[in-house]
Amino acid sequence: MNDLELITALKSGPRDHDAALIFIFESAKIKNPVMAMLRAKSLSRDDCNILWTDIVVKFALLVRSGKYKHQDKMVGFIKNLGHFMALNYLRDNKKTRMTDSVEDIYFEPVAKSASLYHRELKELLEDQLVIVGKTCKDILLMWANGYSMQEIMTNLELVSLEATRKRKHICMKKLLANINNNSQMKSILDDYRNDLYN
Amino acid sequence: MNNNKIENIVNDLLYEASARKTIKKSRTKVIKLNVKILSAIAAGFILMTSVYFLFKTEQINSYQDYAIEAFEFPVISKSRSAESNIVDDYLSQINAKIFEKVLPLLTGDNLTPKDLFVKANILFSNGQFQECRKILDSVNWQNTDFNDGANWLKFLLAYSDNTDNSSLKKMLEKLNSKHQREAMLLMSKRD
Repeated sequence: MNDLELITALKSGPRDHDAALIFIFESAKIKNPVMAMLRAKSLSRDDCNILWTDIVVKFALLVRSGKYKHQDKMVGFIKNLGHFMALNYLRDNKKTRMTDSVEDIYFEPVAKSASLYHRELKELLEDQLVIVGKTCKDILLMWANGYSMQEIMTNLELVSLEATRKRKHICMKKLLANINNNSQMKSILDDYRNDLYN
Repeated sequence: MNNNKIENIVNDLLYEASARKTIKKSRTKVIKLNVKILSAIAAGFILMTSVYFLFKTEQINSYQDYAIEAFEFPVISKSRSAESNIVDDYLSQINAKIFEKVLPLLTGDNLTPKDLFVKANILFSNGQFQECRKILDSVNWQNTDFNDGANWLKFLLAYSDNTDNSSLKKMLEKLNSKHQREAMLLMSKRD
């Protein structure tokens, strides 16, 4: 798969999307330069692996939301995104960066803003998803991944299409209410000066 | 921040969680696949090892069969010396290859070389190779016939134990010409 095919697949339905996502995650051509850059920041192998998953996921989100503009520099963009995410990761873990050998890093506002508050939001959402329950979590995650109501109904063995729609609506409402009632998460969201949403 | 904006961010966060789950699932599949491959390799290795040992055991059994086939119980004659041998009283039975009565009598430390030689041959013909080897190694055979017979038995034991051909060739030198020919025939069955 070339870069353009990957971008197209990431914007497609869940099956093509998942295949492209896994391809990027496992592709040595994309992964190796990013991992080398992360390792150069004195991050441990485990930290690098955690970050690599987050970088791929964040990149897929930017593609899907149309914020990534493809200009034949996909690996470069992922590397930039990785750079900003590594800085935030080091900040969150209060680690000092030992070296910064990446000279080809360029300022990328989209990559920078997308990586802000990443860890906090990720962890807080995970907590909230546990609170809403397993079925709600599964419905919301499948829906977010682009599965149709029919597919969600079949996959999760729900009674009817109408019940699935209702269930998804109730779950989303519940999740949003919980987030609004969670002062910590609310404050992070309020501080989330993300250019993506402006 | 209005609710709509929060919902947009939450949708994106949900998408990220879902993508993370997809990656995790694919990695679990790879690990499971690796475990399956490793298990298959281990099972294959065990199978190959079992087949190898089975083949080896079969081979050793067939060498033992060849050795027993080549073995011929020597004709035992009455001694002319003054030595008193237990076996002399059972010569007809021994030469008829009936050992039930004489074998239990061949015990103790006072057995003569002739008694021991007969006992070693009986044990070999009964397939009691270890006991036979013990006797052969413990006696210094003075009599030429006994010495020839003992060397032949030693060769047959070594052959049935799958001793390598170079060691067997060294043993050939101690055999008489008749046994040498038989030994060469046996060794040719290995090639």
